[in-house]
Amino acid sequence: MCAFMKNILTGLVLAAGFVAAPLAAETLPPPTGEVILSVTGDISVRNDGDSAVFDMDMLRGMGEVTFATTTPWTEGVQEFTGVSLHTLAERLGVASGSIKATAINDYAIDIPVTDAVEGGPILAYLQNGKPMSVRYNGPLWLVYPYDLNEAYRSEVIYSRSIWQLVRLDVVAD
Amino acid sequence: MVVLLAALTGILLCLLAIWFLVTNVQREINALAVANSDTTQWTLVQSEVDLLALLVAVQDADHAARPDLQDVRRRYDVLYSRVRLIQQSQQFVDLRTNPEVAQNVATFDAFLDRYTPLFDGPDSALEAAVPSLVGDLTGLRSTARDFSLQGIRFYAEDSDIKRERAAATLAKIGYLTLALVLALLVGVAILVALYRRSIRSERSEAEARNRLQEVIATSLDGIIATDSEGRVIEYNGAAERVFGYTRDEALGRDMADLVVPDHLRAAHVAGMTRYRTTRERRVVGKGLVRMEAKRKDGVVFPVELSLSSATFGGEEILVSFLRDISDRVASEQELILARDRAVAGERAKAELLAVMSHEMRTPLNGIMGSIELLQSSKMSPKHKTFLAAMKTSAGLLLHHVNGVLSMSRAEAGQLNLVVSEIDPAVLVQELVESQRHAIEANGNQIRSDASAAPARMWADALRLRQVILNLVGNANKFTRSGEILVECESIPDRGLVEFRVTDSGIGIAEENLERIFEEFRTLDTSYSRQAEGTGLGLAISRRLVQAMGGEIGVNSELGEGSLFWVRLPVGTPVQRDAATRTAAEAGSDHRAAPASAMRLLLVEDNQINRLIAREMLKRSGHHVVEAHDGREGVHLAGQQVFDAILMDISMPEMDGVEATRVIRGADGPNRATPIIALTAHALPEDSQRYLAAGIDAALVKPLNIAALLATLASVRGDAGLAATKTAVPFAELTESLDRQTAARLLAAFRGEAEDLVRRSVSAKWAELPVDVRADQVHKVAGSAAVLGASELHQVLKGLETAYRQDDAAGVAVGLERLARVWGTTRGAIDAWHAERQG
Repeated sequence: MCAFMKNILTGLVLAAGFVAAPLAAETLPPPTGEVILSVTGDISVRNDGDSAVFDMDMLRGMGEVTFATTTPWTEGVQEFTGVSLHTLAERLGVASGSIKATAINDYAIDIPVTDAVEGGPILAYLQNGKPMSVRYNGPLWLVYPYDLNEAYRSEVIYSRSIWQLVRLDVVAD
Repeated sequence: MVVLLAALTGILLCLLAIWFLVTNVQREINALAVANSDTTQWTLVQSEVDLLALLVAVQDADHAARPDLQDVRRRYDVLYSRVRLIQQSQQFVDLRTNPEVAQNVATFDAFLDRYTPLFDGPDSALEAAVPSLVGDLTGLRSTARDFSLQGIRFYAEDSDIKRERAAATLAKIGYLTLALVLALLVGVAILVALYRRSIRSERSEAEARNRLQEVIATSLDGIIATDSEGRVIEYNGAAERVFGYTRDEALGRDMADLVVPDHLRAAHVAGMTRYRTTRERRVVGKGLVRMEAKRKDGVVFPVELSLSSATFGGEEILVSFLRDISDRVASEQELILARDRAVAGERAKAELLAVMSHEMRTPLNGIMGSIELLQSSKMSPKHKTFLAAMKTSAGLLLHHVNGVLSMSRAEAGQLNLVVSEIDPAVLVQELVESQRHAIEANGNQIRSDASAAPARMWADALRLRQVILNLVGNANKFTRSGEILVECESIPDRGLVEFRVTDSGIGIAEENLERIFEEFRTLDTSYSRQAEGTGLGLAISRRLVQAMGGEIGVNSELGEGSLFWVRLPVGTPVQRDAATRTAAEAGSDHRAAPASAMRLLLVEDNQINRLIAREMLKRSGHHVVEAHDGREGVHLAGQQVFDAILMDISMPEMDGVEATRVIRGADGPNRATPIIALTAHALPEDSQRYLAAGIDAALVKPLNIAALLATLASVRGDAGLAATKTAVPFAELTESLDRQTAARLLAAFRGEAEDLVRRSVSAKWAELPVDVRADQVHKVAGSAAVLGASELHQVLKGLETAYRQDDAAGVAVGLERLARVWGTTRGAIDAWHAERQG
């Protein structure tokens, strides 16, 4: 798909997000299990003070995306399943700006919201069908479909592929 | 072209190599970038950070009253994931091959193996292990440090290698680019050269084209080029002049409409179509062909056409070269006309000569006949001498006239040779004796030698005698007090007979030897003074000899004498044919039979001839009725019956042949009377014509009494006198065969002839095809000839001819005569049988 089409699609999706946002704000329930991801910053939907927090079930309830790919950090083809960053951003009413992602070990990286597209990165919670422990880069790993899109096989994208992800902070432009 | 291809190939190869190297270097640089990436370095250093973080957490726990084990566990997990990453990540594949690194990784691994069960176990156990963990982690710090440093060193070296490799590849690319540029330069140079060459060749081509155009334009022949459809694509100035169309009018039009005449157009279109479809060439490439063409104004004129084809830019074109040959054709026709006129003039001259000779013979005939009659009357000796002189002169004149006539006949191919059996020795002897008097009168001697002559030969005796007589006469003319020798000798191995006439006269110069045989040639004035003559003698002799299949020649020494020789083929035996009877033969073969009175009708327009013939016949005791022309003859023949009719052939208005036809065709008293033609010449085709008209026999003028009477006797038929003049019928048959065979043959013939005669008057006979009837008649005629029934044979021949020529009158006459003559012949056969048996 050419970039132009991609932009148009993104635009449409974002427009839909604006429309859905007020309704979604009221329907994000509080987490019932252990919180594994908290989102702060310029988000329009929250369920915990300034944050939107998610347990595994909430993430899993947002729609699964699965793809197989190789990565520089693993051996052989891996199958990853998770929630699309695009879906998450939409859910939280995030349309622009950048997302600062932080890991358990305080590794942090800025991800532009424009990366959050359909067919783009996912917050993977399953690797080869199994939940990932911290020792295996879990519980959440932002994975891009490297093999499906050559543009994702770059050093910048590799640096954005943050594992042991625990926090997102949305910063508006 | 080859050079250009090579250059292009070089350029292509350079590009390929550069492309390969560029992708290669891209990969190298990528790899370099990956190796140098911060994440890689960061991961290595982070392993030490993670270790330290765990150590801090563990130390905190060691000092705290209530240790935060969750944090310790999380730090452990992070370190665990880090080590696992180093063990598994593709980024560190190369690094892991370093033995020191591998050693350090193994140390980490061993640490994790030892503590992982503890971390996965209950808090109490973990809490208890904290002190030892502090020690181990502290010990592991140096390992982690080494590991990071090793990694940094390794990647630095690796980067160097990769950088060098990339640099080398870049250098290669540089070289190749240089090569590419060079190849491109070479290519450009070649292209420039090619461009120049094409410019040059285009220029020379243009020049050639211009020259060709010039040639075409100035060609004297019209040139029309057409495409394969026949449309004109080139048309030059000469064509404009020849055909009247301008170039602009002609271009693009169909050649067929333009110059092909209307009557040839269909053939032209068919020819073009045939050529297009089958490529069969009839005119193309066949050189000059004469044809007709049409001008703009519609005039059709003759042209000479040469058509060739050429392939021009992949398309076949036809090029016609056309030349107006009206003038040439006109002059050719003029030439033909002139030739025809000349030939016609020549023929007219020959005809005039023949007619003149012929016309001269008629009065000569009168003179000779008168002299003959005078000689038999009483007169004084003096008058007799004059008469003899007259006769000699007239004879000489007749000889000349005959010479010219023979000449013109020979020229017209009309020599009519009558071949008969000759005894050469007798011929020579007789000839010498007949000439002895004249030769001795000239003071010469003559002798002959025929001791080596063959016993028999077959030739025209008259012509042969004429030739030798001429030679002897010449010898006598040119010899004074000398000797003339006539010899005859056989040349058996070549089948020839040689006659030689040798004299001891003045001889002939060598340069004249050939000329003496040419027409109208007397050698010089002295000869012509010495000897009179037309100069035709030797020319005629040569023609006669050649006509007889022989040759004539001369050897001579001036002053010594001459030797003329004649070589003739011995010839083949011939059977005597009763139908071709000439006056001369008749004269020599028969003595005049005793005359019995006949009633004769003489039809002759020439008064002198009529007088002579009448006198001759009257003296023989015949009764003669005269008619002055053909009409009178026909009239008289219709009134009274005659025993025979003598009919002159050449008469004005109605000639003898026509008169005979009328008499035969009319229902008069003389429709079956024998008719004897009197003619100046007897050619074979004339004989046929005479027989067809119903003439029974022919006499060649001038008349002599013996021949006239003999012929009369032979045609008399059933006039009641047969017994007296005809030899005993079938005598020869009896001589050559035994009695029984002869009788059987005659009986068979009698049946055959009787059958034919009976059938010939039946109704069925008339229905048969005319050819069949002629064939049947012919068959019986053959039998009659073999058996010696000459009169019957003659009648049958006449009938056959009439059938063949579809001459109804002739057939009627022939049938009537057949019935009559068959009656006689049948009587003779029966008499023969009676006689032999009795």
